[in-house]
Amino acid sequence: MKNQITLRDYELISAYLDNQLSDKDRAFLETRLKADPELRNELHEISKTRILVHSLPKLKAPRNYYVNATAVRARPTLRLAPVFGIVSAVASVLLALVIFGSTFFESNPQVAMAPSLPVADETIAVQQEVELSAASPSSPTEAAPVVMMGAPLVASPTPNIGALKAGPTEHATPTTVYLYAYPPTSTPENLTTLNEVQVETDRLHCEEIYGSSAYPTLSSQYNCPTPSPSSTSSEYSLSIQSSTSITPTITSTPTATLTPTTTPTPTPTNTPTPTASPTPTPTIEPPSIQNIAPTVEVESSTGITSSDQVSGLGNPTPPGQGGAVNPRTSPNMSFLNYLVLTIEISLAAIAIIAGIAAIILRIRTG
Amino acid sequence: MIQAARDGDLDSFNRLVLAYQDLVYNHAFRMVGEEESADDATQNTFISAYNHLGSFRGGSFKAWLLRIVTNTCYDELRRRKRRPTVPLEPLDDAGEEVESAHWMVDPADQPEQQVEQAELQRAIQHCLDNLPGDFRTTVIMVDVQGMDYFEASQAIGKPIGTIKSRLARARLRLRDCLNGFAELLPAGFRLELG
Repeated sequence: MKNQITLRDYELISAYLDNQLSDKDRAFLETRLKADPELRNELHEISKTRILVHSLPKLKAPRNYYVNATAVRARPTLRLAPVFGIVSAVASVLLALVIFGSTFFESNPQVAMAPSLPVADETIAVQQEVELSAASPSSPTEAAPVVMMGAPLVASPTPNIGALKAGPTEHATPTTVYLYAYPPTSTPENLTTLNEVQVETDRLHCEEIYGSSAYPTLSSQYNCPTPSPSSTSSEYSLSIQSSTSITPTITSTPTATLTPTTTPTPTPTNTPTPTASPTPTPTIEPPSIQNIAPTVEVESSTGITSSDQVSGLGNPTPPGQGGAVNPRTSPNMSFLNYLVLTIEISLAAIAIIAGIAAIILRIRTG
Repeated sequence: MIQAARDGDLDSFNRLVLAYQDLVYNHAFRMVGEEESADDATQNTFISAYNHLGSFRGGSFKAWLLRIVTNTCYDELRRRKRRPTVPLEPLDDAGEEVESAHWMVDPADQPEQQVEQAELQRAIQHCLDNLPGDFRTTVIMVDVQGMDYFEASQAIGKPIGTIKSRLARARLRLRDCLNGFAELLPAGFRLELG
């Protein structure tokens, strides 16, 4: 029979005992009590329980719980909610700074790494060419030196000595250095993957050069499509003024200009040898081209046809420009990226946890 | 006096302490069931009340104070639940184990009625300790402290309908607990329930 008494009935009984029922509910319950003995029994048991609990004595405080100033000041730890709030705010600010800083520094190197003419690459290319040429046998007439930059150009059938002359200086050859050149009809056999990447790079540089107004007279040195008629020649040459070996002196010759005409080129600022700007008609030097690889020195006494001439050089970079752009080493950047990411995650976790703790503490303290 | 205490007058607040400390201690004792824990909870309640007087928005100060002591007791119960420290044998003031607990005292040395009353109170307290926290709070406020449903609703922070439901369930559980416990109690207790 007890199963017929629901929890709602017990609520009515409990409220009835506390005189907390409405008139309607009271009348309803009293009607049921008269008709249901089980319900009356439950009413009696709940009433006795209520009386027993109410009979518990009201205890007196064993002492006085006065609050003194020291007791209040001695409990600063109760105010934890503001601390967590401050920690969360600080962590959020630091996180924003780290994100902004990492984004800013990531974007800057890209801007700084504007296309420039790396001269150091040329130096390395020249060295490689020298090594390769030294290792490979080459005939004096059909030498195919290592192509450091650019593809072989189609040489004009007739050598144009005049084009090589640098205007008033009839002896342009002494200062002309040809790094390399190709026979008009031959393709360097050693033009392999050794410097294919460099070739492509040089081509791009060449295009930049043509697009640059600083070298309006440059002709095609690196097999790049240039508007100059002499660009059809398959040979490329670049006169570099250098009193030393090719490798270090490239950068010092801002006047290493290539002119398709015989117009004199502006002399470099600090080059001891007179400048000579040979034309980009490589056909003039087929004989001398052969030996360009091993001989990298620029001899003042050599003429254009000298075997010591070395043709073909990399990018005529303006002075002070084109320093080797060292890309960021990937391992270092990976480590930095991971470090920054770790810091960001840590700050985010601190901010979230401290914020939640502050909210919870405030709710609990009311 | 409350306003003066909110303005920082410590003396005014201590007068409030004097007026409500019995109520707070009684509530704390019935909640935690131990004198020492009730003492700590009462002291913490008044310190917390002083520190948070600014959050008192008016209304029943008694209900506001009982809410603080209830939350303090909840913290103590949770702490005790995480780290139970019930001794196997009771200890005296010197920390020595008592060979015979107070409930094992020879009843012949005390009036029978007092013994029965003490055992009955312990039985009721035992059943209160077995109630869930929210049920326990409700029945203590209404049946022990004598508060009406409205005051209890303010102190607990729940609607009156919730108070009615919790109280009914708490009394039902107490009834069942006391009926089962009655067989172990002295005859006087059983006669009362019989």
